[in-house]
Amino acid sequence: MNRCRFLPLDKLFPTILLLCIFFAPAPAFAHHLYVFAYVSGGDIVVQASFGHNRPDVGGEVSVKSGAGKLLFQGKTDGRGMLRFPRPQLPPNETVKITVSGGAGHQGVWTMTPADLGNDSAATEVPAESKSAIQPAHHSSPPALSEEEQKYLARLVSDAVAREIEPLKAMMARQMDSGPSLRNIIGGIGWLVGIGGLAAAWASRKKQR
Amino acid sequence: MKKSLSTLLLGLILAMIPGSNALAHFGMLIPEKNIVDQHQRTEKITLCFGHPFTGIGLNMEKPTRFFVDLNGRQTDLTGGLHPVQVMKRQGWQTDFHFRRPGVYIFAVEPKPYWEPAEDIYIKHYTKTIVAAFGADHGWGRPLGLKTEIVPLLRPYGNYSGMTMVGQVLLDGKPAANSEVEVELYNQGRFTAPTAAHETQVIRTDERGIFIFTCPQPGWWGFAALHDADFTLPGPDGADKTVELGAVLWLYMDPWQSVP
Repeated sequence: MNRCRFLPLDKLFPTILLLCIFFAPAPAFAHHLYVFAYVSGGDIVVQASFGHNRPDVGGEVSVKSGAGKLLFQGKTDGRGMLRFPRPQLPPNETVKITVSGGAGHQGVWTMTPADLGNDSAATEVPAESKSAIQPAHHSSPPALSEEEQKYLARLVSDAVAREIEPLKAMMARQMDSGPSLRNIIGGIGWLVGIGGLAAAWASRKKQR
Repeated sequence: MKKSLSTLLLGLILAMIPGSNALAHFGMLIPEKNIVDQHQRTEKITLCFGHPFTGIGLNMEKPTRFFVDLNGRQTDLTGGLHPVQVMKRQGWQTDFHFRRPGVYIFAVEPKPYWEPAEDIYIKHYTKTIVAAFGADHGWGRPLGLKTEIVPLLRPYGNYSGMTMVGQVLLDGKPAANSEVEVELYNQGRFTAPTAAHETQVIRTDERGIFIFTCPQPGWWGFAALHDADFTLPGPDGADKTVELGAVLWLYMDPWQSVP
């Protein structure tokens, strides 16, 4: 730090800031600043902490759109939190929240359209399940390569396996619980047989 | 001639028995990573059963309970499981979306697995721990399972060559002088010189604490085994021993050189 006194700190500051921004995504510092943000009602809530449950008190928050437009500026409170009204944005816009905690500590959290409740991007639906759900609208089957056919077959078998799983579980439950229909019919058969034998025995005795 | 043939047959049968006994069973609960950041907020979490070192899978029934604990609040995830093939056998998988910072403890209570080779049931309560978005608190909390391993080493952000320290709990109390089996989820990387090398074994001290140094990067499984204080009727109707396992999976990252 002593060395810094001999350097033009105010001129170096933009460079330092740039370096901080560059290295912010790499969680290499033991004293890292963690930022998280979520939507609560009509607001966005920002949380900033140094870990170990230590909040970043009075951290400077800057909120920018994905296009780089400054949307909001403020400071975190005694719990390391800041609440501000959710800005009106186009559906696919992201929001980048930067919090600085002084002495080169900086954290960034990017809110996706899904985080912001603009679900048109539907980032929550994993690509795999999307392709499994989408029905085929082709009236004639398109020409598929062998690999595509294999992939399709796997998708279908996965989907079928997933769908019949509750049925399999139900069948397993039925098999486990008490005598099955076959057991019952078998049992009745035995009873009739024994009854028949007894009747035959009795009638033979009578004949004598 | 007949006698020698039957001797050969007997020999073959006998030779097969120790082979199946040498392998240790592990309940497995493996996420993609044990630290998630905002660039990857959804993870595939895989549940399966088998022998992690040799890569021999065993069919796993849909578990009784699969849940995640965040700050003591448990959310059931059993409904979201779908069957997948793991190590050529049936396992289960789900996509889990991390919504907020926290140390997420995943746990599974499987259905008892009938192992005819050992004439026992095996039930491994299995856990793994994922830290999301920089959270660093609460990784050492027990979940109150019938049996579990509580890590004393932070269970993420570790390198290969570090020493795992953990405490085994049985009915919430430290399990002294009990055996802990350790295996690497090998995935075909290494070969074992003998069957004994596939599974490492350590014992807990009087406080139920064990230590083990993980010499390679990868997923390491720790299984503390006890016979249950109850039995279950086997397929032949007789009462069978139930092996309870407390299993914990953690990842050791490789050291990375400066590019």
